[in-house]
Amino acid sequence: MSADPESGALVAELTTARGTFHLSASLRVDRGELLAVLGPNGSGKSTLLAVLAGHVAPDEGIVRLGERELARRIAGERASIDVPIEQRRIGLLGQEPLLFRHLSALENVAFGPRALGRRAAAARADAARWLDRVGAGEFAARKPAQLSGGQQQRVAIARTLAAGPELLLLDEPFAALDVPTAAAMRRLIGELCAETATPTVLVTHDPLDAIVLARRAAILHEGRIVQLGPVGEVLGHPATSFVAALAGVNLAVGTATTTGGVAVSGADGSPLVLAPAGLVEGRRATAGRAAPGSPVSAVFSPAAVHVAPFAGDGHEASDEAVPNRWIGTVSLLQPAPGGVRLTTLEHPELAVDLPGAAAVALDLRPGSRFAFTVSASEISVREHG
Amino acid sequence: MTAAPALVATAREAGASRRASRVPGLLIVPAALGVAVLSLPVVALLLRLDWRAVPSAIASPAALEALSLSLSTAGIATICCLALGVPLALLISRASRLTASLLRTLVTLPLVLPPLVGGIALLALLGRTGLFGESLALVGLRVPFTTTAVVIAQVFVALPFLVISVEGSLRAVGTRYEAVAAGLGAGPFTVFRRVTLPLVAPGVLAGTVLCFARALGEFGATALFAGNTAGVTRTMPLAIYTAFNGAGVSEDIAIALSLMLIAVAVAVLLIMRSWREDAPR
Repeated sequence: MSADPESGALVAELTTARGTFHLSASLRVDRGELLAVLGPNGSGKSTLLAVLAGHVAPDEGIVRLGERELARRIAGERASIDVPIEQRRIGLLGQEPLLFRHLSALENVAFGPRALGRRAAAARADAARWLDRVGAGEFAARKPAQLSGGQQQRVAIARTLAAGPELLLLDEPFAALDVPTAAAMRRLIGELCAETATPTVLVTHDPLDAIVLARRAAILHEGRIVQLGPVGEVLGHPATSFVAALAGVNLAVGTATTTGGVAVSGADGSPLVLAPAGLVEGRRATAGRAAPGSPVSAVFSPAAVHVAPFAGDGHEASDEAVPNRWIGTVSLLQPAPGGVRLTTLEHPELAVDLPGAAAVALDLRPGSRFAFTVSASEISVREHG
Repeated sequence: MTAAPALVATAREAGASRRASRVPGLLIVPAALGVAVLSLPVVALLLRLDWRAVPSAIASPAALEALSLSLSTAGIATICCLALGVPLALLISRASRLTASLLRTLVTLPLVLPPLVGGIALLALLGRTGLFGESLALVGLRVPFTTTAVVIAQVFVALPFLVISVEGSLRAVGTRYEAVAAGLGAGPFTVFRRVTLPLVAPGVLAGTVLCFARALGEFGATALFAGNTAGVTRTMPLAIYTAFNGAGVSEDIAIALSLMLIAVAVAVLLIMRSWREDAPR
């Protein structure tokens, strides 16, 4: 295989329907690249992997891995291709290790090389090397039942890679592990992907996986890729509330104002205009400004909100629509790392974090009213949709 | 999946909530009656036994002949059931819902059919005037009233036990491990040999034991389809029947032979237990 990253890349363009669910996705992963796919439950992540792995045939589309066409079905074309799972050379590692319980760790790892026609002794030597590489060499003789969850997952990684996959599919491989084990496994996967340069698709719930392992992330929502780009970009300016929640930021979707801010209407109809720094001073902060009235979104951290006592009565203050400020009634108080997270009746989609001491000083309680001000320098505005 | 882990789980639950899982007193009486129905006949049989006559009855050439014929035919029938039943179970467990329920009904049929009817059906197929019997007769093959007929009758009645047991195991194990094995590059037969079969081994073992026990006890279909020729088709159940009805033969011989059959059955069940305790989980 040449060093050209173009060769060996995964190129997939597919649509498939399962009952009422439709998945339509198009993606490309080069050699040496790891693409993180994030999305809520039922967004189609597992279906996507199932189609790539060959467990489910696409209704339409192509899956190509390097020079090889693994699946092809185009409307109007007679011939369709659906390479059987065992000839795809795709390694799939899920949340559960699924080690063969009747085989020792070593025999589990040797299974792939043997299935590919290697002699038993050579396959075992291969397996021993892989077990050492994942730090499970000492467990070679043990049966899966005698290993902890983390150890089993290490063996499963070794087994997957020992088969020499040309594409690696990881389906939340750290989800069932405790935090330190997951961290160690994350590091191991990162190293192994870099070493083998195998194109990798990582499906996950955890933004940490994407931040640590991936350079690019795709957001899958209701069967479609709604966002695809560098991880920092995707998490920094999410397009959906799911990713906003994952990234721990507030996403306010509204319409563009004439000054380039975002007009958001609250639950009670009270307006809120979010304007990034620069716009407030009458300058253009970003190069391209959205046309007034078009859909735009503003993103800011829950910690970028200042909470002050509000003495006024009724709605007079909020009717003025001072940029980045709203008068809100506390609806929900939750513990947050280092303090308190609250939401207001007026803008339930916007979370506000404040330190514990500040929360005590303000005497926060559900039903009390405060003035909330978002620091303009922490707001970023983009076109939405 | 198999009975062994299920038993462990049940025991654990019982320990955790002994009071909550107490059996209502009202149900103890019918349960005790059930035990009586199952055990009293065997107890009565043992009490009836003329123990002094047992050694000679068992050591008689007729009894030994029947025993060895029974063990060998039941053994061959069990091997046939394994060869046919495991693939059939796999087919059922992987078939579409409709096909699976159709095949399952077919497999269960010999279980609910009186064995005598099975014997008549086999005669209709392979008898002198049967569907295949005539063509077989042309090439000089005669199946009924031979030892082969005994094996065929046993396979007919015992196969369902194996298929049902193995199919249950296959469905409990699921196809996830097979998908993993295929993903590692193993073709369908390698997957079957190295993954599927070892995973359902406990089910295959249980099915084999039940299958063998059923073949050993087979009477009705054998009597009709294979007849009752000493040394050729007279298996233990037929020998017992003959001894019981035979003129001039003591009933005690029948009882002694029954004792042998019970002993073999108990031995088989015990062997299964000790196997299953160290069976892979």
